[in-house]
Amino acid sequence: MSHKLRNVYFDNKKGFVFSLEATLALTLFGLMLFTLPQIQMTSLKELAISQQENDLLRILSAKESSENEISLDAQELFGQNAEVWINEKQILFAQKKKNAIASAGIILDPELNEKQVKIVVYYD
Amino acid sequence: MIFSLDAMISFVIVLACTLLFVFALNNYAQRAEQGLKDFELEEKALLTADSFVKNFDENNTIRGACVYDAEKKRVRTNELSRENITKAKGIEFGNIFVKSITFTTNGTPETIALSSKKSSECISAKRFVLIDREKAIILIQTCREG
Repeated sequence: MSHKLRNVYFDNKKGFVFSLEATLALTLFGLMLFTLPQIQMTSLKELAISQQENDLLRILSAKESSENEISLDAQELFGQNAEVWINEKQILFAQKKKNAIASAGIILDPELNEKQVKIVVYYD
Repeated sequence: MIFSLDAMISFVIVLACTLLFVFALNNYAQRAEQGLKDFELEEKALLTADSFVKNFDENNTIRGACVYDAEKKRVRTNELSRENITKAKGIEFGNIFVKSITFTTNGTPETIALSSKKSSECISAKRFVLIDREKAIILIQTCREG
């Protein structure tokens, strides 16, 4: 009696049969797609920014500049992406982005007064 | 030989997977090749520009156009002279070459063309320097032939 009932139950069941083999095959297929090699695009953007920050520090040490001139130079070189700090006082503000590179240097003026300059450049 | 419908479907699926995999690998190889070419151009552009603003070479000032301080027996990095810049000649690295140098002093841009070759892709390296003791932005344009 119970065997008959079970048959009736299976006969009436409609829908989708998803076997273990099919599950395994689909999982393997998904894994294969997932493990395809992804390209890591290499860029020298960080090097370019570091070189430009170094240029700015080098020029500030070679030619005496006021705070306003330093801000204008940094804006000309990095646009709105650079922050400049002189002796821990921020003189230029930037739009913050995902990544940042900072460079700092100590510049001595003709009277041997120390001026600590820090440049932070933001980029995506 | 028994050839069932199931076997045929499996065979078609295997072929489709292989095709997809080969297509993906081909796409990967093409992107890697382009990435390598872009990297090579960027590297040459940045290193040429760095050499230009950090060294002095009297034979070809594109390798270095800094002012030489005879008294201190050293070059003054990032300090260039207009005379040295205008003496620069073209330089090539395989199919990559330096096309032009543009510099702006007191808001006036000036361009020195170093090559008239046709180019496909170009990158400009921007540097901040002193030209004859005046602050200036200098752009060195490096291109690939094509």
